[in-house]
Amino acid sequence: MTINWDTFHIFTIIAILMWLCGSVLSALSSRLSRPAVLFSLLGTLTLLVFIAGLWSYQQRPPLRTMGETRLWYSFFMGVSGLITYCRWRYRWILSFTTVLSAVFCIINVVKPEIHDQSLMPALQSIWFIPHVTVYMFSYSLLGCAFIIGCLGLFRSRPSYLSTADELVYGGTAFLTVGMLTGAIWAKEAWGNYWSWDPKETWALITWSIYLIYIHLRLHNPGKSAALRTRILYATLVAGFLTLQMCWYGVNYLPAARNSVHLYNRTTN
Amino acid sequence: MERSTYIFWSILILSSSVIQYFTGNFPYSVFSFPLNLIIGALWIYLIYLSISSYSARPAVRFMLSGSTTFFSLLFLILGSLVIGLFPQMTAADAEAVPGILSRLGVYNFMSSWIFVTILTVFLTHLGMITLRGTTRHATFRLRFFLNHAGLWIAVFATFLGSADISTLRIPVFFDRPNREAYTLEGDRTYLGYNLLLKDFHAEYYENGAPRHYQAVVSLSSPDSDTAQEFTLRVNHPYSRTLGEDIYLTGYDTSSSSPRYCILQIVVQPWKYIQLLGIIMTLAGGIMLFAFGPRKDRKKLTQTI
Repeated sequence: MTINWDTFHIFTIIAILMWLCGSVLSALSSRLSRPAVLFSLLGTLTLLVFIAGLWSYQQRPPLRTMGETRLWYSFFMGVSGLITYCRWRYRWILSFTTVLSAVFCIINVVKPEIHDQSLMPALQSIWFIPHVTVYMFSYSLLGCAFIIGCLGLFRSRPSYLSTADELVYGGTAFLTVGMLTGAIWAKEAWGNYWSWDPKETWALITWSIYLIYIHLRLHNPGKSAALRTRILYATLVAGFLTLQMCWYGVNYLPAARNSVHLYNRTTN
Repeated sequence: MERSTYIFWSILILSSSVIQYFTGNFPYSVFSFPLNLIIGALWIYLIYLSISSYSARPAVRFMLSGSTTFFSLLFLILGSLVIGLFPQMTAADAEAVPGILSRLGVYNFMSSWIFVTILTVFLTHLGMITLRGTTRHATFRLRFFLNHAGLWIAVFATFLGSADISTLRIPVFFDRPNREAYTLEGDRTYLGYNLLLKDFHAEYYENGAPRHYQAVVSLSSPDSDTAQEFTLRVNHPYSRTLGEDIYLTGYDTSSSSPRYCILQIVVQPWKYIQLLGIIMTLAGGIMLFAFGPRKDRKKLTQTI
């Protein structure tokens, strides 16, 4: 079987079925469910096989179009969900990551902006793969933190914030690496480390929001504990929303008309 | 938050808005070398002095407070939101737009008084925090140092060095040497050397999009017979001098055999300092992942 976008729906169906089994099994078990881990792992590996096959078929890393970044996001969401489940044993986390991963896979099936196989010269750089994959991994970690933020706004538990801390530190670390490798690449490609391109600007906004979270956790600004906790959860939600702007929302802003990052809109 | 925090930020934003409204954008170009170097040295000295000799003063304690961290990041976000939501233009184009938003500099916000003020407070705060955090602890905190000092160095060099940046575009032809270049604003200027296109090669995808293109360019001094040749590709600039790089940015697409290519010449003397800051912050980011949240805070979490 040739692995390309024509066969993606088969991989999607298999992956989602595996993830669903994993979600149900984890939700039913009060302890770490090994079958749930196995099913979730198989679902994520299914997507990994597709990514590897597509990479080989296109003869370039599938990291360029919006559809391709969604693919990585779904994959890393599966990885992050699994790590979070194994590490903190939240029985609900796999259900949420399944929904997020499945939504992005289904968007790729229904709305495929994926047939353009060209890779413009500016993207042919050693920084291309680390820059995008690191970002996608960071998005998935911060996606898990977002889920915790949403839950925490309605029903806070002491353990939520310590889990969010781990996710935010990991996500912000990868966000930092993604942003700075991007800056070094931008210098090689366009002559400036930072040029306030809309994509860069929204990346800075997102990064700064997570820095606020980290610093709010380190300092006590004198608010009541309950209010402070709600502010922290709200920060997680706000960070994830600006992250969506940075990822694809920015493409639809009038301010981004002259953005140098519009290569991922050409096939949108 | 204390009332002084609100008063400080309100006065700061209000006064910078008034200055912006009546005087236009911040005159960055005035602060080129050596003035930026002098200001930078003075700035660092004041930060050092505040931490070493006046750390007990209320103003210094205020600048070192957690609320200043919060508000300087918050205003950095708000300023960035203006840049991210409003189309940014050249200084001349932005000035031509009528209305109060234009007078407040939102169409060229990076060089507005408001944003410069926010950056100044942010950098002062970050510099003070970095110095205190590095010198006042018994053990050297490497992660803290890399993240804070790295960010400070990168932003400080970008901020102070911006007046020294020059970006020029020049078409380079096969048939004649050229040194007539243009600034990004369209003003003509002359390089101190000639550029001549010796060879150009482009490959295309089936859909006509360029896959790869490269140019061989000859650079010669007007008063010398010797010339140096170099090959340019996208992502592979040529470093002419320590602070000057030449980029291949485009070519003649109107013909199947291009008659010229377009080069961009970027003079950025502060780029090595910026790179140092970036590498330090990168290392700090990796440590952030490797070591995770501070362990002593976990106990605090359990009490929330």
